[in-house]
Amino acid sequence: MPFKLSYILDVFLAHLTGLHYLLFGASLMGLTLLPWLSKSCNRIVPFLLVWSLSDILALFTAIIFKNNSPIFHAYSLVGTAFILSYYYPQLKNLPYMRSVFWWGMIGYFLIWLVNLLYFQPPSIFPSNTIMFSCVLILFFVLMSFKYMLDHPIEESIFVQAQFWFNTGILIFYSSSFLYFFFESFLQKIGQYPIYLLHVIRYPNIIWIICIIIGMLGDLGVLSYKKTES
Amino acid sequence: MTATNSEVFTLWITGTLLFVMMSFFIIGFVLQYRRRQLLNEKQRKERELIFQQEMLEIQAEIRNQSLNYVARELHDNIGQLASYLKMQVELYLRKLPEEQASPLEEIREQSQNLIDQIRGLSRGLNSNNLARFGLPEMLRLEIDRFNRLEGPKIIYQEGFLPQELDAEVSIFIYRVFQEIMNNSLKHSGADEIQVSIGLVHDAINLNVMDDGKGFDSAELHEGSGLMNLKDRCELIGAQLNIESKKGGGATFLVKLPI
Repeated sequence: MPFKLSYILDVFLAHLTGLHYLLFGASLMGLTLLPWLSKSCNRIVPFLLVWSLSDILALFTAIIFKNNSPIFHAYSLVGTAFILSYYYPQLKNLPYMRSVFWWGMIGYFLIWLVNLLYFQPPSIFPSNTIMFSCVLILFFVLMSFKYMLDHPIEESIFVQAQFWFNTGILIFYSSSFLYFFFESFLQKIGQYPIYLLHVIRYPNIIWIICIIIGMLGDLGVLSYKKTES
Repeated sequence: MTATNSEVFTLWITGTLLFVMMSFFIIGFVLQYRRRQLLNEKQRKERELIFQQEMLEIQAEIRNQSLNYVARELHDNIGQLASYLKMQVELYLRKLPEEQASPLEEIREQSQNLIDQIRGLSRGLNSNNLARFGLPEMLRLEIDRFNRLEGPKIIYQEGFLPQELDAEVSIFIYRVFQEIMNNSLKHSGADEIQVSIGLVHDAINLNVMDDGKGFDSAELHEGSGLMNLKDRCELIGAQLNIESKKGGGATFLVKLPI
């Protein structure tokens, strides 16, 4: 009975949280607005889709196989590649940045592979590789912030999608890094504080909200014009 | 507090610190970005101003060279043709009996008048003459020329002017004077125009006042000749004040600090 489709769907729907709905909503919004978003903004949409898909698969595999770590192994690689591909067009013309991108990606792939083969096999959550991906992504976020400072445009910072994406990514990935850095330590604590598991959801929610604000800003919804009296 | 609780507390503190640091980072970024935006805006405006000044200089130079060319053509070509015409008339006059000479006498006088007008105009247009005669003398000659035309009476008052005026300043004042005068002669319908020039508190003041039909100075719009002149004055640090009302004449005051 546990593999009956209706049962799986029932459990799946029962486990969907507000975070999931927010993420699916943001993805749907990105897909719908894709033709109107600027070129620099719509690069975030594929990542949103990959993220949503991985969350759906993670839920299904958790229900069916009682373990969704393989999905996170795959997501830690694919998601990172998608985020880096988001930053690549903006930063590729900076000195050495092309090499940094490619070597970063190759290095990250090797770390991911070594971790998968020797440290955290598919049945174990890939916290090590996620930590490395956090460092890599945070580096490019900081470079992106620097790029923005070096190339300011007239438009208000608060209507620039890039600012909101960077802010969301900075908050989420630095929190994730800290969270996974302490994860093994948390596991060692006798009474594992279950509420700490949910702590990471809040930066996650902040990130998705930042993405939504960024897309709205890109569409010009947030900008205003002074009216002449 | 148990050991576990204290460790969890430490984690909460670490997390809170991280968020505080990130908040400071983001606020700092926004402030720094705003500062760079303002700096960029300032630099952009400076570049635009420099570009406009350069364009203005180029325009003035082109205009000056064109006027000099026209002046030379008037003097060397049309002036010579007028002189030839007059010589031909004088030749015929010598051959004709005195009783038949009257119509040709009239033509001879008009030819002489034409030659004088061409010379005056040529001299007025050629800015090289400013270096030769100086600004005060050129203004006087130009006033004489205007007075010889059938039009309003022009009264000229000259105050103190520095002996050695910068060539660019002289050309600028002279061209502005010509433009204002042409504007008044063409549009004002005045009976009298008063022109005065002099040095007042380290600035050359050129004042042109007519008693013509006037206009509403508040209705001057961007792109009009006078507004362009005003903009050009401002770009080189001079001021052009225009005061006029319908039926009340017009006053133009140019102040150029030197």
